[in-house]
Amino acid sequence: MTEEIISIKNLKAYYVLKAVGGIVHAEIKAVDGVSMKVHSGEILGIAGESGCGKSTLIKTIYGLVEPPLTVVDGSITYNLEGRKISLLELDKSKLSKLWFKDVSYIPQGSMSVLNPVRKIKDQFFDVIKSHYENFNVDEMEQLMIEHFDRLGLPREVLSSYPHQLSGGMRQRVVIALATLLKPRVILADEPTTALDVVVQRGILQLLARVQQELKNTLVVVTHDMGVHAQIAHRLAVMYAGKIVEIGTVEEVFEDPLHPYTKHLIRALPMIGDKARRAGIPGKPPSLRKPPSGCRFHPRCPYATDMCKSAEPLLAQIGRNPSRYVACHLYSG
Amino acid sequence: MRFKASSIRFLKLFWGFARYRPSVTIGVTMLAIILALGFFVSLFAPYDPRRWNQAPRDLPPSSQHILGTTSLGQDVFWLLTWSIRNSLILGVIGSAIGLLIGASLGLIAGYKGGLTDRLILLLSDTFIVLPTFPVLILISTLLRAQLNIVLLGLMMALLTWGMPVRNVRSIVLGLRERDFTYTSVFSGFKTFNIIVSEYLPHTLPWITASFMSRINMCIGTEVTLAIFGLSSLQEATLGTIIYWALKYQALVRGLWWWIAAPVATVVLIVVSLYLVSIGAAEYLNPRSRLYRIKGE
Amino acid sequence: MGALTEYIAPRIGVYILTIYLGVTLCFLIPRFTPLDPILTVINRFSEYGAYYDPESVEAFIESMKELYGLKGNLLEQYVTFLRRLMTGDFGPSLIYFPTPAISIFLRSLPWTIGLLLISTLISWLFGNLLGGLAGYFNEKRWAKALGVFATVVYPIPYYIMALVLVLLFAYAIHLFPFYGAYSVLVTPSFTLEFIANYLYHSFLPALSLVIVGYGWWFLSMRALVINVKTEDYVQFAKATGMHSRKLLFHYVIRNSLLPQVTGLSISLGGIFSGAMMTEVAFSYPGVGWILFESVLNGDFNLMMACVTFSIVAVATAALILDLLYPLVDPRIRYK
Repeated sequence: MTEEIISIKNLKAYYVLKAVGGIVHAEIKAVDGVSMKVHSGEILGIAGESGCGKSTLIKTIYGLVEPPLTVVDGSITYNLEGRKISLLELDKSKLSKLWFKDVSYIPQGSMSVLNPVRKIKDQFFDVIKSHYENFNVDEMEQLMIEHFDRLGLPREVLSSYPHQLSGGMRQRVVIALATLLKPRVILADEPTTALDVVVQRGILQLLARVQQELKNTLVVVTHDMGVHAQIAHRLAVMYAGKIVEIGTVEEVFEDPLHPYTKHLIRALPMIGDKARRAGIPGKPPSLRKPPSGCRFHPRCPYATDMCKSAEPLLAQIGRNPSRYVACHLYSG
Repeated sequence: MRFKASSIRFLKLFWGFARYRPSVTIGVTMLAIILALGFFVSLFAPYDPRRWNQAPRDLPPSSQHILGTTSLGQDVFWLLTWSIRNSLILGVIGSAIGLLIGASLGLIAGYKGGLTDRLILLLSDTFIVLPTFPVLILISTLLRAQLNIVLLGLMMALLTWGMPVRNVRSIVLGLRERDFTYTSVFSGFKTFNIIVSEYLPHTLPWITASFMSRINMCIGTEVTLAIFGLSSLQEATLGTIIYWALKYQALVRGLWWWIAAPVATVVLIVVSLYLVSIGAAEYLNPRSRLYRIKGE
Repeated sequence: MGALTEYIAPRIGVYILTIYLGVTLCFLIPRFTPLDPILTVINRFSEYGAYYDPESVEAFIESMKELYGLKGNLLEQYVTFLRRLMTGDFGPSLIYFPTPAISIFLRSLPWTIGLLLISTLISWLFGNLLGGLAGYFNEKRWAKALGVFATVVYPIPYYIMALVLVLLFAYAIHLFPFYGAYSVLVTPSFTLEFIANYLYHSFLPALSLVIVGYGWWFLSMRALVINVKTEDYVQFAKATGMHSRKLLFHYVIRNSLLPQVTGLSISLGGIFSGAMMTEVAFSYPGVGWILFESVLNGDFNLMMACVTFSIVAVATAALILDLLYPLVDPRIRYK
């Protein structure tokens, strides 16, 4: 259960902007030195405010890197049933074979990711055919119907067009597509944004159930802490392109260590606590010119001089092997 | 001294830009040459090129008559310069007025919506489907005697105003839902002000490109009408040159220069206008600006 | 079904309005012309040096008025005109007097339809296919080269293109004939010989139409594809590891083709006009050529017949295309 399925070492992925033959030059450091491990069979949540780089992180983990996004440094290693795959070294065709078969990706805004002129089942055919050429139509249809039944989705959806379905249903269809070929890893980017809370819950339950049945690994990226509370096992908190805290969900919620995490948790409404919720002072930092030293220091109430000059590294806390914080308050 | 330095800098910038977008540069250069010919060089014509028997007939191109002469005793080169000017004026009138009508109606339709929108669309769709050419033939036949450049341009404008309506309207529809509209409305701007100050700038890239392509269309239509003898035959336009050339069987009699010159000129004008229009549209369009910055 | 009626009703409305407007214009315009067709006919006859006594001339004018629908006041004329229109009666042609204008028109119609149909189909298919491929692979050199070619030919007016081809292939290089639809001594029939002869003659006119049409379809399709490539569903499909050929055809091109069908119906008017011009350039005996002759000779009835039918034909074709559109776009078909 604690076997690593994805190992990320010092990943740096920047958006590199050039204009008119190199006149303007800017680097947006969306992922700036991220190292972490994803354990097989767990649900890992990645939390953080908008613009902290979590969407970029998960896209990069999937391998969906296209200009202007460039991987500047680091490595991503998958460990799938004994095979070790270094993701960043794969060429496009090998990546395509991996996609949706071994690793799946559920993008943000699943409302519009389905082809408007193709029936759902035809799109599913397309994906299956791209990975298994020997299936015939009947076998594929059987596969899809079984899958839909198992997920509790109505069969009529298969013969519909995307515009005939509601937003929530479309999201579920995308989840069904992502889990169809039984991948070992599912990466979900904001799977519940733009949906109302009732539908949200249904989606989350679906995801959790899928994970339980297939016993695969799920990584969920969202700024909504409520989502993490509902399904995540472990939680990683991201800020300005860096991971600042990792721990189990209970640990992070009950005893947040990093000042940023403390603010995040304190900002959540809690039953019985009628005190006013405080927001986090200051603005999110620019990823083009991030603050020196610890990136949170302009907004941190505990900031010291060291915080302004030296960057704290993500370090294990005490004897707990799964607890990490990147803060000078806790190291040394 | 300073003049030399700044002109060198200008040339450097120009060359850099030319390498970056060769098509636009070619277009702009050709257009500049054509405009110079039509509006500057034409002023130096030694005599009115439309008058007959000014020069010996049917001469092939030579040093005295760069593009030869016609069977009516006209010098082809000077005739051409005047005709460039006239055709362009005609094109601009037809294009600008049609665009004015169409774009205004499109702005109104897009902003007001509802019944106004529907009515305007119904009317403009009708004019879009109406084949302009047969109707133009009819009208031109009627007005044969009174035809001149301006009238021709007006006629074309009145038949082609339908196209811009839908395009401008869809741009406006996209903008209507954006925040700054609500801000303007809530700040008490009147409808007209909103349309002009907020929406117009967004439609400019499209309007610029459309303006130039409509000029092309008008020039083409004029040539076509001229073949039918329905243009302003007393004036010198690119179409009328072709008309007279065909009437005097220029091709069959081997006077190729009489036809080739206006044909080549038309091709050059339309292609250069088109190149410039895409360059302008791309430059003004904020979306493609972003695309250019996206990086290699 | 409700959604379909919502879609169809306005289209039919435009159709009827267009035809009505066009027909009324056809009615009004000649009546405001200083040209009096009857006088023209009389002058023609008097050219032959005949002398008529006033009473017969009067009677003649009366019967001519009847024939030309110029009897009575404007409203009466309008009603007569509309009634005659229903039966396709445009009166006799002047050039081919007394053959009815309508039959001259009908004789030339098939030639135009043949030319138009084939060249529009070829240029639409070719232009869209090449434009789609060029848009998808827009960094490759061949894509850019095709684009340059399309950019140059697109703005050229139909007639000028026809003249360019005439200058090149009929005048400079004697490869193709530059007039007629078939050689002078050959009679039309359904033999292979005739068809070959026809193809030989109609090649240049068709080529002229295809080249100009190609420019437009190529450029618009390419622009559409470049746009569609950035759509969410294309990016997502790519992320599912889909094979590129499937992606290209079913996701990118299929979606880009939809606006092109609408575009076809909008540009039909222009294509038709262009075909007419090309016919004139090549002395091809279609509707355009007949119209040309009628204008040159002041043959009103023939002119009216051609113009009216052009309007009806274009409007009808546009309507048919619009009605077919729901078949390709499921978003309209099912609401």
